[in-house]
Amino acid sequence: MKWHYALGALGVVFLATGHTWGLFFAPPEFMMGDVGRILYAHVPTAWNAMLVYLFAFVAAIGTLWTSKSSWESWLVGFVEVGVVLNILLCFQGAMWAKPTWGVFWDWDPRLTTTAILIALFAGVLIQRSLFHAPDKRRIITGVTAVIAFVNVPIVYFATTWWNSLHQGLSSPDTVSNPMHWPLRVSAFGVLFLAVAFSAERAKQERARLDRDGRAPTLPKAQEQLQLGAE
Amino acid sequence: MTPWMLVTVAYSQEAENADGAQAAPQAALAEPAVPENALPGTASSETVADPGAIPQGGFIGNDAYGAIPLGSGWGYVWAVYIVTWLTMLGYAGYLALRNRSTP
Repeated sequence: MKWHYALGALGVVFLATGHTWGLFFAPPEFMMGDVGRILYAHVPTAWNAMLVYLFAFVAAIGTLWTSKSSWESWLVGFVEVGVVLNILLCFQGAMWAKPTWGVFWDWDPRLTTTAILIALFAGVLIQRSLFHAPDKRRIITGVTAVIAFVNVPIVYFATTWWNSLHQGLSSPDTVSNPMHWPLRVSAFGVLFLAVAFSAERAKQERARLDRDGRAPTLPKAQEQLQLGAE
Repeated sequence: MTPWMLVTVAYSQEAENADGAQAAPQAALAEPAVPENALPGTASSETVADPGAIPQGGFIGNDAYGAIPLGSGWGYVWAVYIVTWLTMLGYAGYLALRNRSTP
Protein backbone atom coordinates (compact mmCIF):
# COMPACT_ATOMS: atom_id res chain seq x y z
CA MET A 1 0.00 0.00 0.00
CA LYS A 2 1.31 3.42 -0.86
CA TRP A 3 1.91 5.70 2.10
CA HIS A 4 -0.54 8.36 0.97
CA TYR A 5 -3.41 5.88 0.74
CA ALA A 6 -2.81 4.96 4.40
CA LEU A 7 -2.60 8.66 5.27
CA GLY A 8 -5.89 9.31 3.45
CA ALA A 9 -7.59 6.47 5.35
CA LEU A 10 -6.28 7.92 8.62
CA GLY A 11 -7.62 11.30 7.55
CA VAL A 12 -11.10 9.85 7.00
CA VAL A 13 -11.01 8.31 10.51
CA PHE A 14 -9.87 11.57 12.12
CA LEU A 15 -12.36 13.69 10.19
CA ALA A 16 -15.28 11.35 10.95
CA THR A 17 -14.30 11.29 14.64
CA GLY A 18 -13.90 15.06 14.86
CA HIS A 19 -17.14 15.79 13.05
CA THR A 20 -19.14 13.26 15.11
CA TRP A 21 -17.66 14.73 18.29
CA GLY A 22 -18.43 18.27 17.19
CA LEU A 23 -21.95 17.53 15.97
CA PHE A 24 -23.23 15.33 18.78
CA PHE A 25 -21.00 15.58 21.86
CA ALA A 26 -19.45 19.06 22.01
CA PRO A 27 -21.53 21.70 23.81
CA PRO A 28 -23.46 24.27 21.77
CA GLU A 29 -21.82 27.65 21.42
CA PHE A 30 -22.61 30.34 23.99
CA MET A 31 -24.36 32.77 21.66
CA MET A 32 -24.97 30.92 18.41
CA GLY A 33 -26.17 27.65 19.88
CA ASP A 34 -26.04 24.71 17.49
CA VAL A 35 -25.08 26.88 14.49
CA GLY A 36 -21.69 27.21 16.17
CA ARG A 37 -21.02 23.56 15.30
CA ILE A 38 -20.04 24.73 11.83
CA LEU A 39 -16.77 25.63 13.57
CA TYR A 40 -15.55 22.00 13.35
CA ALA A 41 -15.91 21.93 9.57
CA HIS A 42 -15.09 25.51 8.57
CA VAL A 43 -12.03 26.30 10.69
CA PRO A 44 -10.09 23.07 9.87
CA THR A 45 -10.76 23.68 6.17
CA ALA A 46 -9.54 27.25 6.45
CA TRP A 47 -6.42 26.37 8.44
CA ASN A 48 -5.46 23.62 6.02
CA ALA A 49 -6.17 25.65 2.90
CA MET A 50 -3.62 28.20 4.15
CA LEU A 51 -1.20 25.41 5.13
CA VAL A 52 -1.48 23.72 1.74
CA TYR A 53 -0.81 27.06 0.06
CA LEU A 54 2.29 27.36 2.24
CA PHE A 55 3.40 23.91 1.02
CA ALA A 56 2.72 25.09 -2.54
CA PHE A 57 4.93 28.12 -1.93
CA VAL A 58 7.77 25.88 -0.71
CA ALA A 59 7.27 23.61 -3.74
CA ALA A 60 7.32 26.67 -6.02
CA ILE A 61 10.67 27.77 -4.56
CA GLY A 62 11.96 24.21 -4.99
CA THR A 63 10.71 24.15 -8.59
CA LEU A 64 12.42 27.39 -9.48
CA TRP A 65 15.60 26.49 -7.60
CA THR A 66 16.11 22.93 -8.87
CA SER A 67 14.04 22.74 -12.09
CA LYS A 68 13.12 19.18 -11.09
CA SER A 69 9.82 17.64 -12.18
CA SER A 70 9.27 16.16 -8.69
CA TRP A 71 9.03 19.67 -7.17
CA GLU A 72 6.86 20.85 -10.03
CA SER A 73 4.43 17.95 -9.65
CA TRP A 74 4.10 18.57 -5.90
CA LEU A 75 3.46 22.23 -6.68
CA VAL A 76 0.58 21.32 -9.01
CA GLY A 77 -0.83 18.90 -6.41
CA PHE A 78 -0.75 21.43 -3.58
CA VAL A 79 -2.20 24.27 -5.66
CA GLU A 80 -5.09 22.17 -6.93
CA VAL A 81 -5.98 20.83 -3.45
CA GLY A 82 -5.60 24.33 -2.01
CA VAL A 83 -8.10 25.72 -4.51
CA VAL A 84 -10.59 22.93 -3.69
CA LEU A 85 -10.29 23.65 0.06
CA ASN A 86 -10.49 27.38 -0.58
CA ILE A 87 -13.77 27.09 -2.51
CA LEU A 88 -15.12 24.73 0.16
CA LEU A 89 -14.25 27.09 3.00
CA CYS A 90 -16.01 29.97 1.25
CA PHE A 91 -19.17 27.86 0.97
CA GLN A 92 -18.91 26.83 4.63
CA GLY A 93 -18.35 30.43 5.64
CA ALA A 94 -21.39 31.58 3.68
CA MET A 95 -23.53 28.94 5.41
CA TRP A 96 -22.29 30.20 8.77
CA ALA A 97 -22.66 33.86 7.86
CA LYS A 98 -26.34 33.66 6.96
CA PRO A 99 -27.70 32.66 10.40
CA THR A 100 -25.21 34.83 12.32
CA TRP A 101 -24.68 37.94 10.19
CA GLY A 102 -27.93 37.75 8.24
CA VAL A 103 -26.22 37.59 4.84
CA PHE A 104 -24.38 34.88 2.91
CA TRP A 105 -21.62 37.22 1.83
CA ASP A 106 -20.16 40.54 2.81
CA TRP A 107 -17.23 42.40 1.25
CA ASP A 108 -15.37 42.25 4.51
CA PRO A 109 -11.51 42.24 4.39
CA ARG A 110 -11.15 38.56 5.38
CA LEU A 111 -13.86 37.37 2.96
CA THR A 112 -12.66 39.54 0.09
CA THR A 113 -9.01 38.54 0.38
CA THR A 114 -10.03 34.87 0.62
CA ALA A 115 -12.07 35.19 -2.59
CA ILE A 116 -9.08 36.84 -4.29
CA LEU A 117 -6.97 33.88 -3.16
CA ILE A 118 -9.18 31.50 -5.17
CA ALA A 119 -8.75 33.64 -8.27
CA LEU A 120 -4.97 33.87 -7.81
CA PHE A 121 -4.30 30.15 -7.35
CA ALA A 122 -6.90 29.08 -9.93
CA GLY A 123 -5.04 31.49 -12.22
CA VAL A 124 -1.83 29.54 -11.58
CA LEU A 125 -3.50 26.37 -12.86
CA ILE A 126 -5.17 28.12 -15.79
CA GLN A 127 -2.02 29.83 -17.05
CA ARG A 128 -0.13 26.54 -16.64
CA SER A 129 -2.48 24.93 -19.12
CA LEU A 130 -1.69 27.67 -21.67
CA PHE A 131 2.03 26.89 -21.97
CA HIS A 132 3.29 23.73 -23.65
CA ALA A 133 7.03 24.32 -23.60
CA PRO A 134 8.16 22.47 -20.41
CA ASP A 135 10.77 25.00 -19.26
CA LYS A 136 8.58 28.02 -19.79
CA ARG A 137 5.60 26.25 -18.17
CA ARG A 138 7.65 25.31 -15.11
CA ILE A 139 9.03 28.82 -14.61
CA ILE A 140 5.68 30.53 -15.15
CA THR A 141 3.96 28.14 -12.72
CA GLY A 142 6.59 28.65 -10.04
CA VAL A 143 6.69 32.43 -10.37
CA THR A 144 2.90 32.90 -10.39
CA ALA A 145 2.54 30.57 -7.37
CA VAL A 146 5.06 32.68 -5.43
CA ILE A 147 3.20 35.85 -6.40
CA ALA A 148 -0.18 34.30 -5.43
CA PHE A 149 1.20 33.28 -2.04
CA VAL A 150 1.77 36.93 -1.11
CA ASN A 151 -1.97 37.12 -0.44
CA VAL A 152 -1.93 34.27 2.12
CA PRO A 153 -0.48 36.27 5.05
CA ILE A 154 -2.83 39.11 4.11
CA VAL A 155 -5.78 36.72 4.48
CA TYR A 156 -4.40 35.41 7.77
CA PHE A 157 -3.88 38.83 9.34
CA ALA A 158 -6.94 40.50 7.76
CA THR A 159 -8.91 40.32 10.99
CA THR A 160 -6.00 41.87 12.90
CA TRP A 161 -5.11 44.62 10.47
CA TRP A 162 -8.62 45.81 9.64
CA ASN A 163 -11.93 46.24 11.43
CA SER A 164 -13.39 42.97 10.23
CA LEU A 165 -16.84 41.46 10.52
CA HIS A 166 -15.16 38.08 10.61
CA GLN A 167 -14.09 36.70 13.96
CA GLY A 168 -10.43 36.70 14.94
CA LEU A 169 -7.92 33.89 14.95
CA SER A 170 -9.01 30.57 16.47
CA SER A 171 -6.52 29.05 18.91
CA PRO A 172 -6.61 27.08 22.18
CA ASP A 173 -6.44 30.45 23.97
CA THR A 174 -9.63 31.65 22.35
CA VAL A 175 -11.65 28.45 22.01
CA SER A 176 -13.07 26.71 25.06
CA ASN A 177 -11.57 23.40 26.09
CA PRO A 178 -14.55 21.14 25.21
CA MET A 179 -14.55 22.73 21.75
CA HIS A 180 -10.91 22.81 20.76
CA TRP A 181 -10.36 19.04 20.99
CA PRO A 182 -12.92 18.10 18.31
CA LEU A 183 -11.57 21.10 16.38
CA ARG A 184 -8.02 19.73 16.52
CA VAL A 185 -9.06 16.19 15.58
CA SER A 186 -11.03 17.51 12.59
CA ALA A 187 -8.08 19.70 11.60
CA PHE A 188 -5.71 16.73 11.55
CA GLY A 189 -8.30 14.81 9.51
CA VAL A 190 -8.40 17.53 6.85
CA LEU A 191 -4.60 17.85 6.94
CA PHE A 192 -4.05 14.12 6.35
CA LEU A 193 -6.61 14.07 3.55
CA ALA A 194 -5.17 17.19 1.94
CA VAL A 195 -1.63 15.78 1.94
CA ALA A 196 -2.89 12.41 0.63
CA PHE A 197 -4.84 14.11 -2.17
CA SER A 198 -1.86 16.30 -3.03
CA ALA A 199 0.46 13.27 -3.12
CA GLU A 200 -1.87 11.40 -5.47
CA ARG A 201 -2.27 14.43 -7.73
CA ALA A 202 1.50 14.98 -7.68
CA LYS A 203 2.06 11.34 -8.64
CA GLN A 204 -0.23 11.76 -11.66
CA GLU A 205 1.44 15.01 -12.68
CA ARG A 206 4.91 13.47 -12.34
CA ALA A 207 3.86 10.60 -14.61
CA ARG A 208 2.60 13.11 -17.16
CA LEU A 209 5.77 15.20 -17.02
CA ASP A 210 7.94 12.10 -17.39
CA ARG A 211 5.85 10.96 -20.34
CA ASP A 212 6.20 14.37 -21.97
CA GLY A 213 9.94 14.25 -21.36
CA ARG A 214 10.26 10.89 -23.10
CA ALA A 215 8.23 11.99 -26.13
CA PRO A 216 10.35 12.39 -29.27
CA THR A 217 11.05 15.97 -30.20
CA LEU A 218 9.18 16.85 -33.34
CA PRO A 219 10.98 18.85 -36.03
CA LYS A 220 9.98 22.47 -36.13
CA ALA A 221 7.48 23.51 -38.75
CA GLN A 222 10.10 25.59 -40.58
CA GLU A 223 12.41 22.56 -40.87
CA GLN A 224 9.51 20.47 -42.16
CA LEU A 225 8.80 23.07 -44.81
CA GLN A 226 12.43 23.13 -45.87
CA LEU A 227 12.47 19.34 -46.09
CA GLY A 228 9.32 19.47 -48.17
CA ALA A 229 10.84 22.04 -50.55
CA GLU A 230 13.88 19.86 -51.15
CA MET B 1 -16.46 39.86 27.74
CA THR B 2 -14.95 40.84 24.42
CA PRO B 3 -16.98 40.27 21.26
CA TRP B 4 -14.46 37.63 20.22
CA MET B 5 -15.22 35.61 23.34
CA LEU B 6 -18.88 35.56 22.39
CA VAL B 7 -18.04 33.20 19.56
CA THR B 8 -15.90 30.82 21.47
CA VAL B 9 -17.08 30.48 25.03
CA ALA B 10 -18.88 27.21 25.50
CA TYR B 11 -21.48 26.63 28.09
CA SER B 12 -23.00 23.51 29.52
CA GLN B 13 -26.25 22.66 27.87
CA GLU B 14 -27.44 20.99 31.04
CA ALA B 15 -26.98 24.19 32.98
CA GLU B 16 -29.19 26.09 30.59
CA ASN B 17 -32.90 25.89 31.12
CA ALA B 18 -34.15 24.13 27.99
CA ASP B 19 -37.51 25.87 28.05
CA GLY B 20 -35.94 29.26 28.43
CA ALA B 21 -33.52 28.61 25.60
CA GLN B 22 -36.35 27.75 23.22
CA ALA B 23 -38.60 30.57 24.31
CA ALA B 24 -36.40 33.37 23.01
CA PRO B 25 -36.49 32.42 19.29
CA GLN B 26 -40.24 31.83 19.49
CA ALA B 27 -40.78 35.27 20.97
CA ALA B 28 -38.60 36.71 18.28
CA LEU B 29 -40.75 35.05 15.62
CA ALA B 30 -43.91 36.46 17.11
CA GLU B 31 -42.70 40.01 17.40
CA PRO B 32 -39.41 40.67 15.66
CA ALA B 33 -37.52 43.61 17.00
CA VAL B 34 -36.45 46.30 14.58
CA PRO B 35 -32.73 46.86 14.90
CA GLU B 36 -31.77 50.45 15.48
CA ASN B 37 -29.17 50.31 12.77
CA ALA B 38 -31.47 48.79 10.12
CA LEU B 39 -31.57 50.64 6.85
CA PRO B 40 -34.80 52.58 6.18
CA GLY B 41 -37.48 50.54 4.50
CA THR B 42 -36.14 47.12 5.38
CA ALA B 43 -38.47 44.62 6.99
CA SER B 44 -37.84 43.94 10.61
CA SER B 45 -37.32 40.25 9.90
CA GLU B 46 -34.47 41.04 7.54
CA THR B 47 -31.07 41.60 8.95
CA VAL B 48 -28.98 44.28 7.38
CA ALA B 49 -25.29 43.65 7.20
CA ASP B 50 -23.54 46.92 7.83
CA PRO B 51 -20.01 46.29 9.01
CA GLY B 52 -19.61 49.91 9.96
CA ALA B 53 -22.29 49.56 12.59
CA ILE B 54 -20.98 46.34 14.02
CA PRO B 55 -18.36 46.08 16.72
CA GLN B 56 -15.28 44.12 15.66
CA GLY B 57 -15.23 40.51 16.68
CA GLY B 58 -17.44 38.61 14.35
CA PHE B 59 -20.71 37.34 15.67
CA ILE B 60 -23.15 40.13 16.24
CA GLY B 61 -26.05 38.24 17.70
CA ASN B 62 -29.69 38.97 17.92
CA ASP B 63 -29.23 41.76 20.44
CA ALA B 64 -27.22 43.85 18.03
CA TYR B 65 -29.21 43.19 14.90
CA GLY B 66 -32.69 42.35 16.00
CA ALA B 67 -34.41 39.05 15.53
CA ILE B 68 -33.14 36.50 13.04
CA PRO B 69 -36.02 34.01 12.81
CA LEU B 70 -34.07 31.05 11.57
CA GLY B 71 -34.92 28.41 14.14
CA SER B 72 -32.08 26.35 15.50
CA GLY B 73 -29.94 26.67 12.39
CA TRP B 74 -29.40 22.91 12.09
CA GLY B 75 -30.22 23.13 8.37
CA TYR B 76 -27.11 25.26 7.81
CA VAL B 77 -25.04 22.92 9.96
CA TRP B 78 -26.09 19.84 7.99
CA ALA B 79 -25.59 21.64 4.69
CA VAL B 80 -21.99 22.42 5.66
CA TYR B 81 -21.16 18.90 6.82
CA ILE B 82 -22.83 17.17 3.86
CA VAL B 83 -21.11 19.42 1.32
CA THR B 84 -17.77 18.98 3.11
CA TRP B 85 -17.96 15.19 2.87
CA LEU B 86 -19.27 15.31 -0.71
CA THR B 87 -16.33 17.52 -1.65
CA MET B 88 -13.83 15.09 -0.13
CA LEU B 89 -15.51 12.11 -1.79
CA GLY B 90 -15.91 13.98 -5.06
CA TYR B 91 -12.25 14.98 -5.23
CA ALA B 92 -11.16 11.44 -4.34
CA GLY B 93 -13.40 10.15 -7.14
CA TYR B 94 -11.97 12.70 -9.57
CA LEU B 95 -8.43 11.54 -8.74
CA ALA B 96 -9.44 7.88 -9.14
CA LEU B 97 -10.97 8.58 -12.54
CA ARG B 98 -7.88 10.53 -13.57
CA ASN B 99 -5.73 7.59 -12.52
CA ARG B 100 -7.71 5.21 -14.70
CA SER B 101 -7.67 7.46 -17.72
CA THR B 102 -3.91 8.03 -17.45
CA PRO B 103 -2.06 5.43 -19.52
